[in-house]
Amino acid sequence: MQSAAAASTVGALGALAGCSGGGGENTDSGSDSNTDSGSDSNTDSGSDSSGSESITIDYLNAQAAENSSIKSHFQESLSTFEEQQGNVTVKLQTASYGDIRSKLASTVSSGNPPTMAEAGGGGLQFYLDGKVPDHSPFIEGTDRLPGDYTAANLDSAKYRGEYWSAGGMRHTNSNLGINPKLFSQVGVSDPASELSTWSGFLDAVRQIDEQTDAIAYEETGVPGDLESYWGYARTAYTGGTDPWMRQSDDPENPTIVVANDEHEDQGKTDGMIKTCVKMAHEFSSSESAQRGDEEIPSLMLTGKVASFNYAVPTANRWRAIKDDVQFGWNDGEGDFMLLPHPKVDADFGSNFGISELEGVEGEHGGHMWALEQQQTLFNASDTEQNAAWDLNMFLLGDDEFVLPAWGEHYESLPGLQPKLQKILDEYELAQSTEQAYKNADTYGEQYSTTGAAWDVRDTDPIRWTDINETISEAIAGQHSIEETPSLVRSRIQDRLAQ
Amino acid sequence: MSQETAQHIRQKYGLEETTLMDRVRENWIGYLFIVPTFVMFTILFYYPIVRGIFLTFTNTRLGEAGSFVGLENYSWLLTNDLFHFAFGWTLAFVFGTTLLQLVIGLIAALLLSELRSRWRDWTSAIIMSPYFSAPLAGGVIWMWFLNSDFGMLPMILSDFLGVQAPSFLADGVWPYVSLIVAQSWHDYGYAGIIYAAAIVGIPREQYEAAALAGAGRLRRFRDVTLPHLVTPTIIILALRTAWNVAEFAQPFELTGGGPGTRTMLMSILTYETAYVNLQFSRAYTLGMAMILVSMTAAVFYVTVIKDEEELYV
Repeated sequence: MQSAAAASTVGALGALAGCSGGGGENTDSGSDSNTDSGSDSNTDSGSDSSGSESITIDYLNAQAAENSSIKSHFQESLSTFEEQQGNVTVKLQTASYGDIRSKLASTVSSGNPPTMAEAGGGGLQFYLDGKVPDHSPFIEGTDRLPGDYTAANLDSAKYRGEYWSAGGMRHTNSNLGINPKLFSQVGVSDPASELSTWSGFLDAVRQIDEQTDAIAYEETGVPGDLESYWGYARTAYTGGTDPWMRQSDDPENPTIVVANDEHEDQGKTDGMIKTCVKMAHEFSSSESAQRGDEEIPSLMLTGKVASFNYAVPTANRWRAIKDDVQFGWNDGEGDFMLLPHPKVDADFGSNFGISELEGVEGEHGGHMWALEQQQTLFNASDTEQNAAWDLNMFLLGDDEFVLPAWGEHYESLPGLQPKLQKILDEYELAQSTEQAYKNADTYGEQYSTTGAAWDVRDTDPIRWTDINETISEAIAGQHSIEETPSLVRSRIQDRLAQ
Repeated sequence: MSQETAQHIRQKYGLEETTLMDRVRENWIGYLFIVPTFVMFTILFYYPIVRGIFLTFTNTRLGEAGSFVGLENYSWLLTNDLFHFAFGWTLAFVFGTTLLQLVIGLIAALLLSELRSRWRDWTSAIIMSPYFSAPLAGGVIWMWFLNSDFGMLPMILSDFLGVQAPSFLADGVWPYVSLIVAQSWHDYGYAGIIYAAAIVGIPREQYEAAALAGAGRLRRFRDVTLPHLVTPTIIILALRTAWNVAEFAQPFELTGGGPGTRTMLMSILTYETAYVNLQFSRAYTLGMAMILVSMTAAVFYVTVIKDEEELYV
């Protein structure tokens, strides 16, 4: 079924290549500032959906449900897309990130899948079950892809050399977030330098813990919100090395680094798991193991929380709580400032009592959310799939959609790398957004999304359940810090053996 | 008495043995009336149960049909430490909430029985109102009451009494206590309604006779009221146990099984297995364990009530 669909798609694309060959001059991948609409989404889409037959695309999406502003922008842009296409109607359905997986699974199960959906990591399982076509012919039918994809998108959309997804429209990344007033109270005057290492950060956090009533560092310890750990777990490494699993000759049996006595990197990975749990125990509130990231901005803006490692570029999340929020240090008077995750320095292990990290150094930008935002086409007729692909290219590449969407309505990193500079040129961004962009730029291709490179079927349950839930249990005191890495390891092993 | 005579007597009084077809022929209108109910029950109740049992022997996930895996799901269940914990905590939760609901319900019913009848209706409506609130709304109410950041109880404790309140939904034993208390608050009204009806039905003469015989208030309660409450108690126990095993909305709203997985009830674990991890066959297997708990309790209660009836006979 899967190969038949792929073959027919290739056939359709082949036919298309013949009939649209004259459009070559419009397909410059660098140029997307087209005349009227600013759109170049149709020019390299490889589509044959422009006939007179009327086509309906059922499109399930979570990003449009993030806030009312981005939802209206989606609706307006989809109307523009429909006008451009003439014969295509897009039926947009939205669901929160919490609901989209089960909603999608039930529609696929009932034999009525959407034409395109923001399937996230679950899309890979649909692909392996033959419910999602091979996306390679679509991607290769364009001349800007896969080259324009961000590193995180490339990593996420590929599985053992095949493209199961069409990429994600946008990403966010995890960073260190601080309350400038509380940090200046304990004598920090140059946060970019003083908080650049884990030892420096630890010193400041200890002082806040001792001198103020605030929660010095809040770990979002619910399993579904421990992605902050995914980010700083990498800071014990340099060059973006994966802390949890590495490819081996047998793709079914990757090398698990966690609690692996025979692996040279075991200490770095185990040490950062312990750091996560210990930071939560020493500095977070007792609520941390059931507190989601949604609560942190309001706690930080009211001076109850001094820092956390879950800061994302989206300034509107903060403005929703306080209209006139002051972003940045502002001589220690700001409300919220975003910094890179601290670097692991050689002294941190001994400073914090984690022997595995003694003498270890490393740095990384953080976790990039990319797998969650992956969009996939589902099995449908060629015309419907091609129309859905056109829509995907429009949402990835049309400046009039992309720039306001991710520069204004829901500040985040665009899914195509060349768009990043355009947003920086177009908008005056809050310190938090600009710094998050800068971090993404500094760490460039190292930026990855946790699990995307593992190339195993159960990436999602390994990330969310085996790693996060086990750490969350440790934060809640259900097992000791010491035994946490080995528990994570045995759960991953059990999962891979299934 | 000869065999013929017995047959004769049975025929005379319409007690002769009849086949199923005979009964259908005689009462076809009655059977016709129950057909729609039977069909609906089959579609909505019996079939899902049978299908659910079948699914526990497959690896079905939401969104993909599974294949037969034998007892793998049961083996997963029995070796899963989170299930062991959830099983034990569910038993404690059910025991705690059912017991509290019985006691509070009984007290409420006794107090109501003391009221004059014109006050009784309104007061009982107010006392029973939590039972008629949506469980999710109950969860929100308790969240506003207990939450460490904005909850009323921690604020009263710290602002008026100068006591540092524990984190009722996160610290030590408090999340367990909070969940049991909140659930008991929500459902004690059910026990109250049944007990109130039973108390109203106790003949006044029995109290008068006991009073004339010199029995005090406590003695009248023990010897007159309590014996009339045994059957209602068994009914409440059986039904509330089954419902408390399956209780989901209010605990999910309050702690969602956290911190970590420290308050993970079997119902929440079933939800997470089905709708977060999308492993439907395993969720059904968990459901089997929940049914097992409810059925065991029900069989126990039914046995007790049977013994109780024999006592009266």
